[in-house]
Amino acid sequence: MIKLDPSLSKSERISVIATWIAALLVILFLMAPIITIVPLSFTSDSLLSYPIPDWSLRWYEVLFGSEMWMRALWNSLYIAFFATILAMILGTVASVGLTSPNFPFKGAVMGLLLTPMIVPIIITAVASYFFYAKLGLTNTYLGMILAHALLGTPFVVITVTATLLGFDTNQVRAAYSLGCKPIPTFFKIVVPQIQPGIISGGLFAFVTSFDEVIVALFMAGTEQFTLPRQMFAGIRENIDPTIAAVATVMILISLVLLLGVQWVTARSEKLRNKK
Amino acid sequence: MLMQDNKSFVRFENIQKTYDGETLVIKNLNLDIAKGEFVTLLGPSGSGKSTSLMLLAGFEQPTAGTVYLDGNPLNSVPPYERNIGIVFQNYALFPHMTVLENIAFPLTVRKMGKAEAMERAQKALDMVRLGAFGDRRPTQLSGGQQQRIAVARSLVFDPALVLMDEPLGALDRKLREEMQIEIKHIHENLGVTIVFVTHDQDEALTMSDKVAVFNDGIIQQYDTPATLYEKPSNTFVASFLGETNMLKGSINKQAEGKAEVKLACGSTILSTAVDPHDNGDPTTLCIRPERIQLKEDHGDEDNGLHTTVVETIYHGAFAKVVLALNSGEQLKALVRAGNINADLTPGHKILATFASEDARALA
Repeated sequence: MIKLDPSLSKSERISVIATWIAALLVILFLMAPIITIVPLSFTSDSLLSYPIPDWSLRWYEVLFGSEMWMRALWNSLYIAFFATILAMILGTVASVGLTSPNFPFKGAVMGLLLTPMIVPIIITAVASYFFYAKLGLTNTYLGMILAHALLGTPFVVITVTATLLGFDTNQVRAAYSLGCKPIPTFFKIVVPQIQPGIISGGLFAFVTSFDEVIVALFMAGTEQFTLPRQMFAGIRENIDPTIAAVATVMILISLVLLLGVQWVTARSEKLRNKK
Repeated sequence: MLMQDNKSFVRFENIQKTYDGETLVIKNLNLDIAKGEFVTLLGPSGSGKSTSLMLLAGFEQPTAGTVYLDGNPLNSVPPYERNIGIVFQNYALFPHMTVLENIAFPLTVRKMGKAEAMERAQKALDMVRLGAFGDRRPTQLSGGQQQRIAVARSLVFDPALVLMDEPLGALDRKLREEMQIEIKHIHENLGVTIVFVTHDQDEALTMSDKVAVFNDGIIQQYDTPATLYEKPSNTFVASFLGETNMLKGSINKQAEGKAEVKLACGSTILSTAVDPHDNGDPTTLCIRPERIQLKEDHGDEDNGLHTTVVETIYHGAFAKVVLALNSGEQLKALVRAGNINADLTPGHKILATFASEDARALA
């Protein structure tokens, strides 16, 4: 499987092999839930359990034929999309402000902006529920979008701040001296260069919203049920392998998005190294 | 338009600048720059030269005083409306644009048609001899090439004025000398007014029409390079520009611009009086090493210093001779090869002479 360097001593060989075994065990541990749930979605049985008698796509047919699941999928994508757009705008603007040299109380403001990541989500969910209830935003799409944007913004703040640290502010001064006003300068000079940060932060925000169930439990009416929320409802009523099919679809979407993050960061890393 | 006198295109009038409200980075700046001149602001770091440039560019506001461009006060004009080109030390090219797009940027911002903008950008690129590099990204080019592109970009929109903030500081010595000549030629060909900031005295002397020497937030002297070097008005200028010998002494008597100085080593020297002195005032005598002639000491010459050779450092075209005075002070002399008519072995007695015009009695 692995070819060991013949120049290694015996004890070095052992340590290399031990490292590989440890790494494989950790990967196995991390992958276990996925490995368990994905095959179940292809069962021909109507029970969510092993052993699997035969392979079939019947639960995918049920899933894609169900108006309820399709609405939940649509809700998930719709809410995540707008929450992401909002998080990208808010997070980028916040980062630009926070990296400007004469911003007061930088550390405190940064900490405050990142609280949604640190505070347990249940607290955020309850707080959002009570606050939004007064504004009549519970059981609305807008309420869900705002609450999820709140959870996604810190990711954008972190990634955009990181890209801005490598940004040469003399470029902004150069653009001004060349006759470009501040707002066009932001869009023509700054945004194209921090784009990798905005996109990868946005993808994290999207995945966060897409996977989120606790806020949805409090904020979403049946009209706004997202996939995780619908699964939660489904598990309590009747467990059938549709759940596993939904889970597989969600894993697949999240996987694609995270690969997208990887691709964007690798690409910006490459651009940076060219300098 | 308010007309200043014809000579003043850029004017700093009673400028003060402080960042923290306590220390003045610029104490009282008055400076006039004529149209078409190449003026260098020279000084050590923290002397206020870069801050002056930033005030002119509009990135900083003066605490007091007014900056004028072509007779118009600039204080309330934002940087993007000043029509001033800037070249930064780190080039500040836009990495997400091609070289040609970088140069065309100030033109497209001014809503010029794309075809015309690209044509003019190409001309500017040809001017800096990089005509074939228009499609590259700036990061694919060397430092010297990037800086030439930055120069082209700062000139392409026919700015009233171009500012250069230590533009050659990041380049190696050979490239720097090439770029000095190139920028000088561009200045001569285009006749554009250039304000250049550097801490490199050679650069200032070779490139400029006039040099303003900064120290401690004050202009120490503002003159042509030759005047600055040959006739420094104070000890800071004398020591910052080139090498100089400074000998302590006091004024014996003075008349008609000449001063007789009694030096610590015992000799009495006739020199040029620069600052007003009373008899008996302490003074510093400045003499450039290359203005000193060395002779065998017969003990009878006027305006000479009796010295002992400490060491001779051979440089090929010239030799640097370190001499000791009997006060313990050292004197350095540069002697051209072929002009050495004295025994320069260490320990030998030597007479160092110079014309009275070349010895300047400063405060």
